[in-house]
Amino acid sequence: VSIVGSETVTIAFFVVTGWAALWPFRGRLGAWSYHLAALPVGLLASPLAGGVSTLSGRPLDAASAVAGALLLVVAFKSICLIVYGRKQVEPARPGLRSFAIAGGALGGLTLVLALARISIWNNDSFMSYWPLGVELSRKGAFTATMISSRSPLLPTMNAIHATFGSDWAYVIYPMLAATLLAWMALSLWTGPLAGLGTKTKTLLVGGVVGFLVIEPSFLFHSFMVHSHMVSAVYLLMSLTCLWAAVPRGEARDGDEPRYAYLVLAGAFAAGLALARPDGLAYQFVPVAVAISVLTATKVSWRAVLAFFAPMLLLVGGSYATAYITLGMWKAAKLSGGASLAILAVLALAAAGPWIVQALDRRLPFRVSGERFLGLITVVAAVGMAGALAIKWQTAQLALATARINLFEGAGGYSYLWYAVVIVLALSLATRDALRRGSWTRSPFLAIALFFIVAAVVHGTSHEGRIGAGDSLNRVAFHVLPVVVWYAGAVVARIVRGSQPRSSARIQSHSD
Amino acid sequence: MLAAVALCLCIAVVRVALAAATIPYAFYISRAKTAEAKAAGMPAPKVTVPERIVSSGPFSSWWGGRRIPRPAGGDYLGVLSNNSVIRSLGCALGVVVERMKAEGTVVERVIVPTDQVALFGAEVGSLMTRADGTQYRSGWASLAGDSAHFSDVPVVQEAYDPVLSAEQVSRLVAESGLSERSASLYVAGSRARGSGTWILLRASGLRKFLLVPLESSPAGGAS
Repeated sequence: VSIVGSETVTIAFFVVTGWAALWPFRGRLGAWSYHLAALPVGLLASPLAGGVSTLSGRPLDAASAVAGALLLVVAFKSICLIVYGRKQVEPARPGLRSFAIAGGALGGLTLVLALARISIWNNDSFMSYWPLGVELSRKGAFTATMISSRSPLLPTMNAIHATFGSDWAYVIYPMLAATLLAWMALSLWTGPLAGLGTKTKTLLVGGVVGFLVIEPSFLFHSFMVHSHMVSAVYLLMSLTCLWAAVPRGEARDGDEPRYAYLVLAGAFAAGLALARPDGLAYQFVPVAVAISVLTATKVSWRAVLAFFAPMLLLVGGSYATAYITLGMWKAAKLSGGASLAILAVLALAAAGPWIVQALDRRLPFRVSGERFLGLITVVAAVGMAGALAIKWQTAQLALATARINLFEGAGGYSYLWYAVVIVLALSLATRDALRRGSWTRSPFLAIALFFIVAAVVHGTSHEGRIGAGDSLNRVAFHVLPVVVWYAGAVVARIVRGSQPRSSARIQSHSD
Repeated sequence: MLAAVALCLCIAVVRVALAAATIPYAFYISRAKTAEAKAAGMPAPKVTVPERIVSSGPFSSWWGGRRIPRPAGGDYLGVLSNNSVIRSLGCALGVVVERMKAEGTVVERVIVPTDQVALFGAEVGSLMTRADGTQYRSGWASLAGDSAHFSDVPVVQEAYDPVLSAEQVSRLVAESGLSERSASLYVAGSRARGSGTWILLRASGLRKFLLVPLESSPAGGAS
C-alpha cells in the first residue's frame, strides 16, 4: 500500500507541476493538449530540483522538489509574460470538468500500474539510474559520473521517486507511453487529418496507434526503466508541437496560439537533451526544425524566444549547476569541455533564425523556411560522410553491427525497419515526402536528420555490439513514433488526394 | 503507397495474431502434458502456461528475444535478486544496511573479503579483447562505491573466506528454506555464526553460497 501511495504522490507531483507551469498557456493550448502535456512538462522540474539541492548543499528532499517545481512554474509564467505581453487576450480555458476527467484518467491509470508494478530492467537500470537517484535523494549533489554517463533528468526524476518513498520507478514509464499514444492521436487528428471525415480520421488514428501498441519494441520500452521511452516521448512531442506552430492563417500577434506550442516544443527539446548524454546531439533535430519553422515568415523575436527560452533555461540551468559544483569535469563519455562546446552551439543556434534570414536576403537562392531544413539535412549528410570517412575502421564495424541488428533480426525488430525503409522510399518516389507546404516534408527530413546524427554519434565512437542491447539499436526506437506519425500523415495525404474535390470541401467545412 | 502502408499494417496484425494464437495452443499443450504425466504416474511438469507461451516460437519471433515485463519483485532488492547479484552486491549491501537501520539496528560497518577472487569467482584484471582488436583489463564494480549510493556505513575489507562449507549450506537451507526459492539473493540472520545479518548470494558451480557479514548491534556481534 505504501508503494502505491508513493507512486501516486510522485505522479501527482509531476502532473500538478505540469498543470501549474502550463497554466498561463492553457487557453491557447486547448484542454486536450494542456492535460496531455502536463506530465512530461512536470517531469522537467526534476533537473531544476536537482540544481536547487546541489547548489544549496541539501538532499533532494521534498522541499528541493517543490522548489524545482516552483522554479519551473515561475519560468513558464515569465516566458508567457514576455512572449504574449501583459495585454493578453486569453481564449476559452479548460473548465473544471476537464480537470476532473484528466485527473480521474491519470489517477486511475496510475493506481492500476502501481498495483501491477510491472517493469523491465537491465544493468543500467539497477546499477546506475536508480542508485544515482537514491544517492541524490540522500546527498543532493550532482556528480561527474552522473552528468557524464546519465545526464541530469532521469537520476533527478528517480531521486524524486525515492524522496516520496518509492523503491523503484514502476509507473512513470507506462504513463509516458500512454501519453505518447494519446499525443500521437491528438496531433494527427488536429494536424494532417484535419479536414477529413470523422470516420476516416478515427480509422487512420486507430490504425496508427494500434500499429504502435502491437509493436514489441514499443511495449518493451513502455516498461523498461531506462532513457528510451522518455527520449521518444520528448522527441515526438517536441516535433509535433513545432509542426503545430507552423504559421497558418491569420492570427493576431497577441493571440498567437502557435507561441504556446513553440514554448512546449522548446521545453520538450530540453527534455530530449537532458534525458541522455547523447541527447545533447539529438536536440539539434528539433532545433533545426524550429529554425525552419521560425524562418517560415519574418523572424519574430517573440517566436524565437518562445522556443529557445525554455530550452536554454532548462538545459543551460542544469549544466550551469554542474559547472559551478564540478568545474570542468573529465570523462570518457561526455566531458565538461565537450558539453560546454555543444551548449555554445545551442546558444548560437538561438541566433540562427536571424542568421538564416540575413543569408536568405543576400544569397541568390532561398535558404529560409522549409528550404532550411532540406539544406541543413544535406549539409549534415556531407558532414556525416566526412566524419565516418575519418574514423572509417570504427564506422565500418558500427555500420555492420547496425545492419545485423536492425535488418537481420539480431536487434529484435523483425521486419520493422524494412517496412520503415519501404514506406520512406515509396513516399519519396511518389513525391509525397518532400512536397512543399505539406505535413510530410518536415517529418521526413527530421527522420533523415535523426539518423544522420545517430550515424555520427554511434558510428564514430564505438563499433557497437550485436543484439537488442546495442546502444544504436535502442536509440533507433526514439524515432519510431515519429516514423509512425509520418506514415499516418502520408496516408492522410493520399486519402485526401483520392477524395472527390467537392466532397473533400464539404467534409472540410463540416469539420 | 497506400498499399505499402496497408501491407505493413497487415503484416503487423498477422504477426500479432500468430503470437496471440500461442495462448490457447500453449494452454492445450500444458493440459495435454499434465494429463500424460498423470497417466504415466509421474508428477505434472512445473512449466506454467505463461512460461510455455513465452518460450513458444511465434511469441519469441514476435517479441524478438527481449526481456519479458513482469512484476518487479516487490522492490529494488527484488529487482537485484533476479539479476547478476554478484555484480550488484555493493548496491544490495547499501540497501540492506539502510533497512536494518530503519528497523533500529545500529550497523557499524560491512565486511567484505580482501580476496575478491573468492567473492567474484574470477581474477580481476584479466586481459580482454574487444571486437575491434583493442585490449583492456576487466574490472569489478566497486563494492564500497556502489554501497555508498544507498548508505554512509563504511564497507571494509578483511581477510576471511566467504565461501560456505557444505554443512553451513545445508544448515542455512534448512533454516531459511532457500531451496524452495528461485531468486539468487537472500538476506538472512544466522544463529549458527552468532553474527548479525548475512547477505547470501547463490553462485553457480561449486561455490554455492557466498557470505557477507554485517557488523551490527544489538542484533549480533561482529563475525
